[in-house]
Amino acid sequence: MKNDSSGKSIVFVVDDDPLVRDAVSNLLRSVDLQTRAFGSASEFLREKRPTLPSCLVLDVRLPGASGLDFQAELSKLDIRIPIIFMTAHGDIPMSVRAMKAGAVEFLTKPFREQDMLDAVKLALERDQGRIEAERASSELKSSFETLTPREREIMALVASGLMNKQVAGKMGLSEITVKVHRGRIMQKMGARSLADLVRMAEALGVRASP
Amino acid sequence: MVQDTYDQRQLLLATLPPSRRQIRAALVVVATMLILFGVTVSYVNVQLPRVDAFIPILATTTVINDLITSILLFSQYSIARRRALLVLASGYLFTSLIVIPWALAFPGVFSPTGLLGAGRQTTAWLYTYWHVGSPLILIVAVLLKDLDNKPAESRRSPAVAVALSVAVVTATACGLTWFTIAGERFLPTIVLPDGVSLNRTIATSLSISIIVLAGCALVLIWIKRRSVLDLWLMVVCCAWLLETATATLFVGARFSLGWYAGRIFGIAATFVVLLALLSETLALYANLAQSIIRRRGDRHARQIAMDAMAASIVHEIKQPLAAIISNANAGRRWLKRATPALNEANSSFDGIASAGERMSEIVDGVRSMFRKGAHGQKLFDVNDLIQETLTMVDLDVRTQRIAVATELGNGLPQLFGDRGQLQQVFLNLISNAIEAMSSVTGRTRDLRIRSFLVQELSEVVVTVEDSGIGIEGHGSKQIFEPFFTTKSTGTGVGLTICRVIVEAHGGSLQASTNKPYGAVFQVTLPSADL
Repeated sequence: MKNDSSGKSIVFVVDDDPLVRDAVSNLLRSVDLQTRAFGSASEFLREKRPTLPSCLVLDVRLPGASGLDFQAELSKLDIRIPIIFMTAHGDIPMSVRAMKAGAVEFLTKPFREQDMLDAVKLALERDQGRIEAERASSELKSSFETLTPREREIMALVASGLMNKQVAGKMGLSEITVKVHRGRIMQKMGARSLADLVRMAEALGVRASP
Repeated sequence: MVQDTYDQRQLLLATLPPSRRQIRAALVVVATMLILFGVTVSYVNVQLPRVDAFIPILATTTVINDLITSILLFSQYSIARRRALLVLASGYLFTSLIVIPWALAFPGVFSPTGLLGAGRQTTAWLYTYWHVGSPLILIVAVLLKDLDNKPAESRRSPAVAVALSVAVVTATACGLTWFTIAGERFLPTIVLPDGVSLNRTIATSLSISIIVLAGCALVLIWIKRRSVLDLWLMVVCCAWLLETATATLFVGARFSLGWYAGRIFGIAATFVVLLALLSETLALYANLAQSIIRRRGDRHARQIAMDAMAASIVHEIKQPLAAIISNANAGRRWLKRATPALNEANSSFDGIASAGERMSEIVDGVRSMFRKGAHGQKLFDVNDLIQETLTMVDLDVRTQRIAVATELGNGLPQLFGDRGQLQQVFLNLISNAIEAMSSVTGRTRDLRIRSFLVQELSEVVVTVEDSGIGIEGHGSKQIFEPFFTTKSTGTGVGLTICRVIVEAHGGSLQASTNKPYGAVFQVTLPSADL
């Protein structure tokens, strides 16, 4: 299996049974995935996780809290890592609960390797997408931070669909000044068109004050 | 064999010893009767008005009470198979039958001289048969009790015995009635020509013989008393004694206070055994129902425990299994690389090996768990175990109208092992058989359990046969696989565990198809003598 994310992604394996933990890690490493294995949920939490696309292969039955409880805890801590559950019980209600809470896959042991590898691939892709989206959103935010208060105001008005003349009228400026500001806004935000700028304003939640 | 411990016959009125409460109740009844007797005895000869309705009321009550009592006693006989009960039931039937002509022939009740072409003496003599016959039959019943100590394995079915008794009693009652009416002139005169006064000599001697008989019966029962029934029969004897004493011994004429009082004692006597039978039957039934419900609960709890244990075993096994499969796949990938990663492949094999070892440990653990068990091992009788298990499914068998046949071999050697676990095996097999027949219609539902010895191998074989849906199409191998189930409600681990338990005892469990319908499960266990 060719994996684009090899070396640039990481799979965390949490299972209290070392046999299973090592076997799953071994399987994932054999397809060139980087893995990190833990015997318990708390060990995983203590570990400093790199900001690479990653996913969590988690046993449902863990000492202390169950895998499902751990899933809820992660979501409370705002750790949005895709989870693949493993269980030796073929428990349907449990799998439904896990999937509803956003698990990528629910595998029963002994699982087929292809199921595991497909699930991991899907999870990593999903995480990659999430990371990209987060990065884009944070870039947008920092660009917006560089705007002056006046520029922000003009951006909001432009995004709300007003012509330069109307903006100038509303703000008591000359149309030329508005044009200059607008050019600077486009440049600072890295917007290629007006439509692009409107989309950014939308994503940032920028609205013209009435 | 101490089979009786689980014998349902032990729960019958005829065999159950009386409780302290019952003895007290009997004493209260006797004391009340004695007080009434004491009060009436001083006024016995006060002549009261002739109430013609009194006789039909008395007769109807006696006929119905004694008939019901006899039916209840016959049904007790059909279960307990004690001849004493058969005789006693016949006695009650006799009184209920002889009272009919007595009432019909009573002068002034249905016609001035009585029906059936009765003479003046008819009722007096019918009354005598009734009152001499009752204690006489009771004495016979009490004497028969000793013969019944060893439950006689009667060849005759109870239905035949009951039918025969009914026929004999009916014939006797009819014959006596006919003889009394037709042969009145051969019988001594009891009632004097005025139709009211009695011939003192004969009346007194008859009364004394009735009292002697009732007294003998009372003493005999007292000597051999054992059961609740005996207790109440003694009360009946007391009632008879008082009845005869008030009604005839001191009484000179019909329709005197004593005569009426005596009849009332007589009615009381008919109520005693009837009420005792009814109340005890109801109480026993309630107890039985309760214990069955409790037992069902136990069974259910044990089933759940077994399921939980099975699930945990399955979980334990799936862990290393997952490790083996993952490692094998990983190993293949390491070797398939352009430059095979030998070290990695090696450690994959290590992983497979240690997972394999773990599995073998788990299997050993399961086996030793079954072998030692929590309850320990002991010698036990397999037939007792089967009987005991059958009582646990009694309610299901009855409600589903399943005919149970047991052919339990005599003199089987004892088995050594965990009795509780093997009971689970039998319970599982029997429950499966019952369940397999639950959807069967249009043919009989037969559950047959046999136990026998295979001499040359010193093995005890128990087979459970049913006429249910069978195992056709599933194959007798497949049904032992974990989680294979044909039932809508079932985990499918039952038979697997049964097999594990039986094999842990050095035996085997096999399934085959029954002819013409159903399945046969055969448990083979080594005898303890081995």
